[in-house]
Amino acid sequence: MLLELENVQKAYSQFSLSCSLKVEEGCVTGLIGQNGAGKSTVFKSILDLVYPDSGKISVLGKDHRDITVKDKEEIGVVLAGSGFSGYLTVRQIIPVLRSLYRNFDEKEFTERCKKFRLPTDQKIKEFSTGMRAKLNLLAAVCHGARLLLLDEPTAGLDVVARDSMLGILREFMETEGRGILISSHISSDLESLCDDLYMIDNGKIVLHEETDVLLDSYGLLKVSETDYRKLDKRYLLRVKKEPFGYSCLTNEKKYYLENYPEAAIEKGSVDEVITMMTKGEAI
Amino acid sequence: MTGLLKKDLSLTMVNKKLFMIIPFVALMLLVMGNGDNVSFVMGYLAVMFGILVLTTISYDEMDHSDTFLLTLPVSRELYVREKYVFALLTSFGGWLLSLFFTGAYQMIAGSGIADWASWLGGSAAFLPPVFLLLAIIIPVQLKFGADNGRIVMVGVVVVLMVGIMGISKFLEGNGIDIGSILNRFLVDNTVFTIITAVLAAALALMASLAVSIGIMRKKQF
Repeated sequence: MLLELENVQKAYSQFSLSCSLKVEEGCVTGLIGQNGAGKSTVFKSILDLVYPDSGKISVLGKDHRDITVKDKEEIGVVLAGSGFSGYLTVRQIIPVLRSLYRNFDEKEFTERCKKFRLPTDQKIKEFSTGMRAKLNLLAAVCHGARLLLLDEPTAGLDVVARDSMLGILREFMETEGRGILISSHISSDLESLCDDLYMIDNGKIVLHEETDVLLDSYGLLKVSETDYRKLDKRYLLRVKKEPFGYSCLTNEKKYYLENYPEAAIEKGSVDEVITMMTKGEAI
Repeated sequence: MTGLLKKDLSLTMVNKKLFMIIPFVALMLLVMGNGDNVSFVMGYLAVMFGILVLTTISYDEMDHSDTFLLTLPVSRELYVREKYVFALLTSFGGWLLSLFFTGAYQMIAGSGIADWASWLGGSAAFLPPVFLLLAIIIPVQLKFGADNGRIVMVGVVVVLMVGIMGISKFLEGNGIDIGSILNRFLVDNTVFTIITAVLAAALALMASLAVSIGIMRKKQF
């Protein structure tokens, strides 16, 4: 197990986090949720940047408070809203990374910077949001990390750049024993990359599912009020009142397709599921 | 720590012009003061170079770069230790530069240096006060940040000045001339004074380091 959070609690005046999740070797685990849902607090708790009130966090098999500087070399991090000082240039951060990471692959880093057209002598503060995102991700993947903790790594990237970045992450996962915890508000990124997904809402994990299962077995039923009354509700996870009747989220799409052939059943998507899980009512 | 030192050196070089102005001002003071400012220049260069560490802390705070640094192979303790090492290195560097400037000035334009050992010893007396200053300002900056740190520092200076003046007035009122007593004591006990000053600076820096580490350990980002 690369990462495990067991009932981690952190209370603020207007928000509280209560979270359990796991990232296994060989897996890309996604954390999805609305802005302010608690994604960054999860990452900061793992990295000991905020101190949880209770619960247990294990990183690379160790209690996260016992992680040493040497252990940190095996972790690559992208944090939303922070990075290298904007007053430095790429050329200036190379010797810094070389000194901090024994396995820093300078050649790979430089080549990738060139490929992504990141100027080496321009101050980072003059970079666009997308350029900064690329730099942060490249710095995270170029030192032989086993675990990547990526909080909104594709924020600000255009479609082409996002695709290239996802390619880098897939390439990263080709080496055995590695894993990624990634958060993003762009669900399509997570659908195509992640093995499993955690959905977080208001500080609580509301759903954990394998991505394949979510895309294959989850569905959205759209039914009139009359049809809703007749519906077998055993496999409905959430229900939301709509002008036409009800939207119902199920994790047994096949059952409803077979037994209610006349019902309008849409294929589940991460966006649909998260909307229903956060805005719908439990049965 | 080398990586952090390289980063801070790069950040210091961001203000290359300001960095160059400090020794230029020192030179001007020496030349224009006809040798009267030798003591001031020694203290000035060591202090100005020493407090460059505050600039690096300010840069770290911008854009939450300090948060990011702690995700790299850098612990909170290492971050703090590096700031002290950087401050000691730069202030020592500033002091060496002041030795070069004042030494060269006295050799070229002044009366020369008759006793090198005592000149060097006298120059070294400027270092402990600089280290004491660093021992105060680094934890203040780490605790209160760049903007609030300045306000707190002004408060600290005012409190210290009022305190010293109050004690001095009190002693004066009781017929004790503390100035002449100190002067006599310092002249009569030079070696003792230097050793005490060095020990006091070292102790203050160690205590300050412990306080700064405590401040960083409590911080949540």
